[in-house]
Amino acid sequence: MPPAPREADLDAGGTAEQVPGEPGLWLLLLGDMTVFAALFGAFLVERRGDPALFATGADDLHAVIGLAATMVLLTSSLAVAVAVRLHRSGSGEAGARAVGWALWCAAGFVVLKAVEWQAHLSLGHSPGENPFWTFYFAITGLHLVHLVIGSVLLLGVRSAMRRPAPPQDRRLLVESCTSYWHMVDLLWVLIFPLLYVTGT
Amino acid sequence: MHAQRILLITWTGLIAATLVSWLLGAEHALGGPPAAGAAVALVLGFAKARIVGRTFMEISTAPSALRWTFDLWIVVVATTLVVLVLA
Repeated sequence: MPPAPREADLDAGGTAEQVPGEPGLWLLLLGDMTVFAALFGAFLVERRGDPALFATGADDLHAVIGLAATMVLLTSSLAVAVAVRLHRSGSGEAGARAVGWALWCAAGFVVLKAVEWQAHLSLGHSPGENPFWTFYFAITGLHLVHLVIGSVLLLGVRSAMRRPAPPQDRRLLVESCTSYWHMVDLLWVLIFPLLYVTGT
Repeated sequence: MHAQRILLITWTGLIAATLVSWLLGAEHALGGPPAAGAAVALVLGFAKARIVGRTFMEISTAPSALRWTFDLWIVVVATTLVVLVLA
């Protein structure tokens, strides 16, 4: 069944099927996602080698913080998706405000991560302690780097949305940067069950 | 606005699925079956990731090559990880 065309595309007389953002960007996004997938697989392979050690490590994780972080990122993705639709319909200022909400969510995620890491480090856990903590800090650290990059991109999107210009002129910039942000959310949606739910 | 209502419904479903995942972890902490609960939580995670991709990233309205590549990634990675949890 063919996909439903986007309302705005039809309104603008554009094509019904359109790659969100720069087509080449998707090689980067899928490549990045695959690097994380390899890390997830390596984590589970290592866990099979020493399930008791991994279970002990996972018991020290704070599932409530992981849950809160997931909700915060999902909310940021909603705000960004709403922003893209608002911008596409010509409401650039409203779109910029929605991106602002996403940035607050990003800041909230960083605070949650800082609290979590501080709690682990104060108990003496470190990346070099054992394979579980190596994977924990590597996966969440690499994700945090992506979140910071995504936040910088969102700042650029917010500025772009505020500048008076036809939405179509900024489509590639807006859709490319926001697709990156959704990838950051998508990866955390997988990290949450992997580390915080299945690890215990 | 129709498009924004769809986004809000999607977000509500994703939040609900996240809570279910979390409850699976809590159930296991109380003595539930570890591997089965873990596999269900992972599958739920990949289902959520697919929804994020299709709705928020607008892959559902992208050309078929991107739609199929994304779905293939989800299926291959989800299957590999679930096998590693269960086997």
